[in-house]
This record gives sequence, C-alpha cells and structure tokens, in this order.
Amino acid sequence: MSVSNSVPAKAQKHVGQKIRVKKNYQYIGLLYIAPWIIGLLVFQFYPFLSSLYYSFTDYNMVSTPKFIGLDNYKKIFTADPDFYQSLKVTGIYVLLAVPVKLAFALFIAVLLSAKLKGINLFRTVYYLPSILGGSVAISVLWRFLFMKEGVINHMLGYLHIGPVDWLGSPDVALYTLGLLTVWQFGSSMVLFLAGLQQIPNDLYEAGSIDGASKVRMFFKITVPLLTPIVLFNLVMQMVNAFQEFTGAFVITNGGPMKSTFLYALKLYEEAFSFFKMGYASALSWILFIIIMVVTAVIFKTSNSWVYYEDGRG
Amino acid sequence: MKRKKVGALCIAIVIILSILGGCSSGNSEPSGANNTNGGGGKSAGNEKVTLRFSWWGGEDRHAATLAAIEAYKQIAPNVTIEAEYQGFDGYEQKIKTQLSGGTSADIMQLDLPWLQELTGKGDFFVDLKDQSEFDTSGFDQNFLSNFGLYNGKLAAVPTGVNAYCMIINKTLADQLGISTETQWDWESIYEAGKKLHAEDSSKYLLLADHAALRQDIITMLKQRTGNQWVNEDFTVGFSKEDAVSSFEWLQKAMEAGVYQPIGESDLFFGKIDQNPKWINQEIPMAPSMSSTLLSLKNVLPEDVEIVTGLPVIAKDAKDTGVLVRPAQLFAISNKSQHQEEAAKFLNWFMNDPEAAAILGDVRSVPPVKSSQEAAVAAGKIDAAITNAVELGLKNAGIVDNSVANNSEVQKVLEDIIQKVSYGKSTPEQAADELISSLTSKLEEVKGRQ
Repeated sequence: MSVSNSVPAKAQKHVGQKIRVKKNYQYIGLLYIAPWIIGLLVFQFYPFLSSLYYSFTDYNMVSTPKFIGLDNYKKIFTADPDFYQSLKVTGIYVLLAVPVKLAFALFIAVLLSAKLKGINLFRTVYYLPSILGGSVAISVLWRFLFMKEGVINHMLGYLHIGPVDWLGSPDVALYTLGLLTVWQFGSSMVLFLAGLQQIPNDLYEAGSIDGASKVRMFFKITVPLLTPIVLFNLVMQMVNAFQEFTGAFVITNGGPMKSTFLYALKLYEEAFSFFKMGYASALSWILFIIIMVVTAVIFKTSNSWVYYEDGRG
Repeated sequence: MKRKKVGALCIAIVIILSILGGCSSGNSEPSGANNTNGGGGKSAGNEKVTLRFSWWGGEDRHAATLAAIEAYKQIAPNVTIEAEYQGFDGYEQKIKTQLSGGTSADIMQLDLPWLQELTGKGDFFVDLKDQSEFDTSGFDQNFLSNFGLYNGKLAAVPTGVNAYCMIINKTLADQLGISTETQWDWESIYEAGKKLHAEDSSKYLLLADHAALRQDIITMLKQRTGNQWVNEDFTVGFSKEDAVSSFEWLQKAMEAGVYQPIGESDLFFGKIDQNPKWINQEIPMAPSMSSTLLSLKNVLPEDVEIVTGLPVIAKDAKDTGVLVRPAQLFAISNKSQHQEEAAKFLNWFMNDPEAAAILGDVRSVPPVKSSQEAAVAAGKIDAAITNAVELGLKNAGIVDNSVANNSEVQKVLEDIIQKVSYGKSTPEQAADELISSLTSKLEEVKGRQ
C-alpha cells in the first residue's frame, strides 16, 4: 500500500503546499551556505579533479601539459625505488605512531576524568601541545631538543646515559619523529574524555558490587563502551599520519639515509623541488587510494569490535 | 516572509560577488595599467608607475635593498617599487608558480639553476640587450654571456660574483695551530682533520651539509678528469675509477672525523650558519660559496676574525674545479607592463655608484667594476669576500653546464654520498650505483627536454 493512496484529495493538496514551502526553505538554506559551497567547489573539488587529470600528464608548471596516459603510474610502480622506500617508512610510521598515540591519549583521558580539584586546569594544560600542534616552530624546537648536543642528551648525561643520536641515526630518527606526533595527543584525548563522561556510573557501581577490580572494570566496561570513539580516533589519526609532513620536513628533511622520507615528503620533493606536477599528482592519487582502502578495511572490521550501546554493534 | 527571502538573496549575492571580486582583483590592476601605458614607453616620464621587485635573502640583504629602493625615490619620484622579499625557503616554488600563472613581479631575483631550467622551457624574460635603458658595458662580458645569455637573449644579469672558497675562522684556527695560509690538497686536509679530531673528539676541521659534500665530491671529480662531471649530451663525465677514488677519500675522511658526521650536520641543511658546532667555535673551516660568508660571520662574536682561501685543490689537478658563478641573477618579466621603467631601475641598481655604496656586499661582490669600486670606497665590502672572489676569478675552473645544475641529477649524487658517509656502501658499490643511477636519470631528463 502506497502512502498517497491512503491520503484524501484535500489533504494531499495541503501536503503539496507544505512540500513547496519546504523546498523554498532548502533553497534559502543553499543560498546561505553558498559561500561555503563555492569555496568547496573552487578550492577543493576543482583541484581534486584537476589533479586526477594532471596525473595523466607531464605537467611541470611552466610548459603546457601533455597527455601521457598511465606513464606516471607505470613509472612510480616500476622505476622509482624511492616510492617504495617512502611507502615503507610511512607504513612503519602509521603502524607505530597511531596506536601509541591513541593508547597514550586514552591513558591521559582516564587520569583526567578523575574528580579532582582544579582538574579543568590539568585538562587545559594537557591539551596545549595539540594547539601548538604540528607547527614549524615546534618542529624546530624538537630539533634543538633532540640533536646530539641538545637538551635531552644533556639531561640524560646527568644519568650517565647516552648520548643518543636521536635524529642523526637512520635507525632511531623515525621513532623520534613519532614521539612528536604522540606528544600531540590532545584532540584524541578530548574525545576520549567526553566518551568517558558518557559512560553511566551505575555500570561501575554494579561492577564494584560484583567485586570487580579497577583494572577489570576498565577492560570490561570502559573500553567496550569507548570503542565507537576509538574507531573515530583511529580513522582520523590514521588519515593524518599517512599525510604527516611538517615534522619530517623541518627536522630531518627525510634524512638520515631516507629513514624519515615519508610519503608526503616524496610527494613534496617531486612537486616542489623537481616540479614534476603530473608525477606528483599521480603519487597523491595513489596515497588517496591507499587511505581509502585502509579506511574501508577499518570500517569493515569495526563490526566485530565496536560496541554500540543501542545494540547495533 | 517574502521580504526575508529577498534579504537573504541580497546577502548571498553580495557575499558571492565579494568572493569573486576578491579572486579577480589581482587581474584588474594590470589591465588598467595596460591602458595607461597604451601610448608606448614615451609617456613614462611623469606618469605614476608601480613596479614589483622580488628577492630572497637574509636580514642584511633586506635592509640594504629596501634602503636602495628608498633612495631611488629621489631619482625617479614617479616610480613606486613594491618590495616582495623573504628567506630562501619556498622562494623557488613561489617564483615558478607566479611565472606559470603570469603574476610574477616585474623584476625578480633568480638562482642560476632555475634560470637555466626556465629558459629551456619557455619565454618568460625580457631580452635586456633590447633595453636601451640598461647598460651592460660595466659587466665582465664573459661572465655576462656565460650565465645570462640563453638562446641568444640576455635573459638575466648576475647580481654579484660568487666563488667557491674556504671560509676560515682564523681566530680559532690560530688557537688550534691550523695554518690559514696553506693551499690545501686532499691529502693534507685529511691529515690535518684527522689530527684535530684525534686530539679533541668534539672538534672537526670542516663544516659541511650534504650539499657541501656534494660540491666537494664534484670538485674532486673535476680535478681528476679536467671535465664536467655530467656532460652537456647527458652522459656521465667520469669513469668508475674516478668515482671509487673520490668515495675512498670521503669514506676515510668521514671515519677520521675530518667532517662532522653528516647525521648531525644535516639537521642544519641549507642553514649551516645555525650549526651549534660552528657557533660554539668547534669547527674552524667551511668549504662554501663566498655569499654565505656574511651569515657565517654574523653568528660569531665580533672579535673573531674570518678570512678566506682557495678551496681544496689536488696536487695534480687537471682543472682547479673552483666554481665561480653569479650569486644570483636579476631578470625582468616579459609580462611586465613597464619593462622600460623596470630596466631603468635595474640599470640604476646595478650601475650607479650611489646604489652600490648602499648595497655593498649583500649580493656578494658587485659584477660591475665601477660599482665594486664604489662599494669598496664606501667600506661596504668585507675584505674576506673580495679576497675569495679575486682568488676564485684568478683560479676559476670550467663553467658548470645546465645538466650539472639539474636538481634531480644532483640528488642522485647526494643520496649516494650519504650512503658512503654512513658507511652503508663501500666506495666500490657506491661508484657502481652512482654510474648506473646517474646514467638512467640523465636519460630520463634528456627524454623530457
């Protein structure tokens, strides 16, 4: 039975009017957000599509682009060892930085969800690194902290440790950069904190009546109820980590020995050092597809580990 | 209801228009200027003209250039010069984006490799030979044609003469008992560096990031072969033996601590003056271009004496390998609406003694003899820089071709130098890899020409 059949003629007219009014409202709404839509079309959608086109050309910014089909992609996969090196470095970086960052963010969030005097001050202070964020200034500071004669080694010296070559050794540099990302745990932490407040207290009360330990309650109550937020943070941080650029560019410039040559640096080098814009566009599309695939995989598996309170999980 | 709708529509339209207006305002000015200049260059006497002038540099160069622009107001009150200046980082990207979009400044400072690349790809610059306002007679004609002339056009003029040299902290060298008079060859500098580091492990003889190491290896190759390290016809200019022996030297120099380990020095890539070892005076010498002398000097206390000498030259060198090139170059955009005024300003900037006295050595030693004399007379040129340039000109090696300045080609060598420096490749392996990678990269670059 369709809806229209059951509605009397008069009422139908009334409904029609309502729909028209609603349409007009939508129209006005569209006008209100027109600046944003235009911005999206001009500054995001157009570059997005044109980069796809350029990825099939030999565009170099100064001469007119020539269509070369799949040559860029072929070359990336068959004749560019740096591509694989940067993929490897980025893979390690993502696998390392994202879980550690999330675990750390969760740890701090749990600490900060305690009901203490002045807790808001602590929350603010712990969020500060994220405001300073992946800025150039922080990266420069990081370089001076971790260089051979930097503050960190100086302090370790008092403990008779080191000096560690944090940034100059090909085996260590990537981890030092990972630390910088982990340090910017603030935005994930705030989300975890919000999630923690949402968990009904009676669950913990029930747990403690049943004699569950704090640790057990954390893993049996807190973690399952936080999984939707874990999913969100995981996806967001993963997407960001794949595109990480500032730290590696400013601090190590991809070195030593390409050990911190992240994918975004490879892309930047092709585009802005060698001006092979077509080639760089192809690289950016490959990165886009990689991120899409990983995101899809995470969402697919999320069915089996994310728990929604309304029973969808 | 209806009124509200109209109101909303108006607001939306205004916003849209203002956005579109914002986008196009960049174009409206030149087209207007075009109309006023329709009568040709003759009308340019008292008419208000605005020229954009872009350059990169450090504080000294900014201050001196701005002072010169200020002084030009007295010469040509109708001309307003808009300065667009910044550090080196990102300047190349900005200039190339502007050139491709047709929005570059009227007068721009360029680096030699970009100029060589750009002139191969398109026609962007005014032929300065056609500009009667611009006097080239003061320039060394060889220097001018070697670096400014492309496809028969004078696309740019050198801003200053820059020479590869040894920049020496004499105060420190004297303390350490290192002679500042010696003409170094590769063996003697190795021995001196080894001795210094063995006596005090916190000290190294030479300051170098990977770009400076690349330059040292290229110099070594040129001295062995007497030829370019990559040829104009996109072939490799040296043999495997040449590469092996150069890398052998590099390997033993790195092991002996002649250079600071590259992992430490490369954190200050492109800004070696910020290296704490140099600032704390634990490294006495830097093989570098003479144009970096001022920044290296400015980070040290005032009483420290900086001198210059020739770079390392092998005893049996077939070519000195001493690089002499323009510090930078100035070009005028052929999209400029006021080419004649731009040429007039550039002429004053390069040739006028008053301008030279203001600018001094901020773009190394002026390429025009009379300007150089005026700057020296005004006490504005560091004697150490003059010395480096004079030594360089006297001992100049072959002029690098454009292939040798290609950033992708240089990168191949830099990557392999890193492997040797870290001890990850033996000289033998590195030489093989260098020749095969270089051959394929050169072929690729050739295919794109």
